[in-house]
Amino acid sequence: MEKSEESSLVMPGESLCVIEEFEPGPGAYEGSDGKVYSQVVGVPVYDLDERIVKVEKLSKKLSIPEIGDVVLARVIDVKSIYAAVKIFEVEGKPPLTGLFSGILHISQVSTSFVRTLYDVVRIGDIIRAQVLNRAPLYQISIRGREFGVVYALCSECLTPLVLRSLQLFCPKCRRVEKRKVAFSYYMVRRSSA
Amino acid sequence: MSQLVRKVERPPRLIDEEGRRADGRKVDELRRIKIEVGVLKNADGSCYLEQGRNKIMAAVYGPRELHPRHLAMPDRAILRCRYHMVPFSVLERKSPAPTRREIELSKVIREALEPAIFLEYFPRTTIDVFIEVIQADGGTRCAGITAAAVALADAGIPMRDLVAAIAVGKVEGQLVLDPMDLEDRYGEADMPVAMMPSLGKITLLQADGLMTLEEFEKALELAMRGIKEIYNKQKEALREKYLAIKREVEVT
Repeated sequence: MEKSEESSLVMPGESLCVIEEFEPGPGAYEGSDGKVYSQVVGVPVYDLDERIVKVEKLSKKLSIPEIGDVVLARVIDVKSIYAAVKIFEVEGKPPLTGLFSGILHISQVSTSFVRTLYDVVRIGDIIRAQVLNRAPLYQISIRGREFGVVYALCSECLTPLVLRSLQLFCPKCRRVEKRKVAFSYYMVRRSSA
Repeated sequence: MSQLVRKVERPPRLIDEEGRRADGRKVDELRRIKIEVGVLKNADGSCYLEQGRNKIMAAVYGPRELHPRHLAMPDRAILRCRYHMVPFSVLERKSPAPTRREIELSKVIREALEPAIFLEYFPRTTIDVFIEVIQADGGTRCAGITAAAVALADAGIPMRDLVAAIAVGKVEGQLVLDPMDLEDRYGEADMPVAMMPSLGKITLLQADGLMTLEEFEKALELAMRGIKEIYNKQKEALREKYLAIKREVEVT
């Protein structure tokens, strides 16, 4: 299978080889006629060791969360054992054209015991979290130091809370609030916050 | 311009002695097609298409979360299509509300595109396709499908193949490729066809008017020839955009 480098841009539906030569990897599929076709606009890569052909996508990455992706989400509802969130950004992927719903269960907050979610997040908080499943409604986790609340407002006066000696503190009304704060609190850019 | 404003009247002959049509085309000739990819900033994928005097904009959004959520399928994405003609797309102002015709065309376009998309990769989501007809001159459903397929590929949605579509008409007893509004209006038959060209699968086949079986077979063959030509135009347009991107990737 010698392929010249110039003609190496393929379109959806373009045949790449027959199934006896290479098996389809990501971006390719096997048609009902036993040929392997491309699924996307991209560059085919033939792996001669594994006998797999994949197509490296040139068109835009799909901005849909996948398992392990880090997302930014806004908390829209909190109950004592779960919180509902809206994911508005997936790190490393193009801007979303809509919001994705997610859910944070109390068991996914920390490795240690958590009595109630009200000590973890509040309505309106922006959290940084990791995605655990592959379709909406997304289960998310904030276990780990780099995950948790990255931006929060004071529940009395709506002033942005600042992190002061490991506590969230309201500079206006001097209130101290409890959250599970991420390592990067307030340092994440607040695009659609 | 004056041609567009004037009322469409039937010329004495739709095909002259030399086999030329009202706009100077031969019977098996397509209108001039221009395709631009990625014209809308906020859409995931988009395409602007001109086919003769037809002007069509297609936009694709998704896969994204579906509202109302009860419409979502647990094992695949759903495809939603909206075919719409803007009020100034035709000679007489068209009400912007979706007509029966537009609702039906939205459905047949959806069914023409559905088999090309790997919907099963995106459970519980939707892929939305919007087709706006900015100027209409016959054959807009086919032009809409052609544009939507390019927009879907531009959005990076995995597809089995592109979908290309063309109509075949019958005018004064002769089969003509890609009939315009005038020929559609005063012709005897009209048959829109959509295909996944490299798989050789037909995804849309409609027909109205009167045709013999032989004529139908000939018409289908003519449509397939037209579709091949349009398919190459689609690929050319995508290639043009993505070759530039590929070079950029290689430089960095």
